[in-house]
Amino acid sequence: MNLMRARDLMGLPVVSIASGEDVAEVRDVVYDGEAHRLVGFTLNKRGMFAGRLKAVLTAGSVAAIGPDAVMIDTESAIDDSDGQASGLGDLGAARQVIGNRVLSADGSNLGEVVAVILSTGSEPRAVGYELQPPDRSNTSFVPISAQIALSGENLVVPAEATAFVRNDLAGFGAAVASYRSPELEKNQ
Amino acid sequence: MTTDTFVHVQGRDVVAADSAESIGSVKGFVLDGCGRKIEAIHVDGHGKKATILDWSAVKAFGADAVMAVTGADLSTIDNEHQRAAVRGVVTMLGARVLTVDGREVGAVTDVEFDTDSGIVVRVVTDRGLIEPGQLRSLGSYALVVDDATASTVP
Repeated sequence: MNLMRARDLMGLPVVSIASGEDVAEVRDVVYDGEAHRLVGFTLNKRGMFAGRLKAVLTAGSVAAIGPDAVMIDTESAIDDSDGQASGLGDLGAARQVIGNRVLSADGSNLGEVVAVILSTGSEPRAVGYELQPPDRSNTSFVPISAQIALSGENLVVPAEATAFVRNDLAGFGAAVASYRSPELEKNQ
Repeated sequence: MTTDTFVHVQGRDVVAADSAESIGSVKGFVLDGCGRKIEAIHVDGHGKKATILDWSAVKAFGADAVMAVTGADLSTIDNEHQRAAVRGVVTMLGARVLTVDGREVGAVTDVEFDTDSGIVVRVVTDRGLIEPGQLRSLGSYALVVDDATASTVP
């Protein structure tokens, strides 16, 4: 499983597979902290000093996310009508998870959320959070599950997820793949 | 099948078969939206305006000269697609290669084509070869290709 930090998508071109044109670039990643769900992207026009586009791109309209571009099938994947309907108008949701304190089920402080981790490819979604431990040592990664409780200031990670915490993104990809076993998927 | 390459044919004489007059030289190509076929040759002529020779007006794409049916077949550009190609906005040579899953896999260094049909036979990049079946679109940002595990892995 290939993973990326959500913020690393900012500025990536949005390219149409049908035309080879860069129709926009990612302005911001819209994330629903309560549902731990990638909602989509707000967009900028391409080019320096180019402004914001009214149109948005929902996660479901993405053909694939790669390290160098966000791919869409055709330009019509970009939707300039239902920014509100898709929840993309509500940017507040994107930030409420960053900075939250993460507690394990047994009450120890695992750190603070510094990034949302997405799986890339044709079905992009949020799979984890990057944490900065209280002692400011190297960051670690914790997988997202439906069992994570969120209050607005705290995230409480269930005990079974603690075993899948990793210190590097590559190792975390493998951990997420095994954590999201078929039985666990069903519960979500 | 005889093939030649974009880099190799650069500057080749374009001659009108009926009058035997040289009407210019090969400067570039206008390709279809997928980058799979040559639609027209961009001819560096004598006038100020950019001129193209439609592939249907090519009598023979020879090793030493491109034979046009008549000099009158040379035309000025008449649409945005041709303009983008002639101005170098959409061009195969030097194009960034992007897979459908959003990974950059090098840049195009040359294109091999069938001199009879104008059909692209192979695209050469600085990372390897791309088969025409993989080509999805050629635009101003990139040549988009299907993932090619066999040929473009660095």
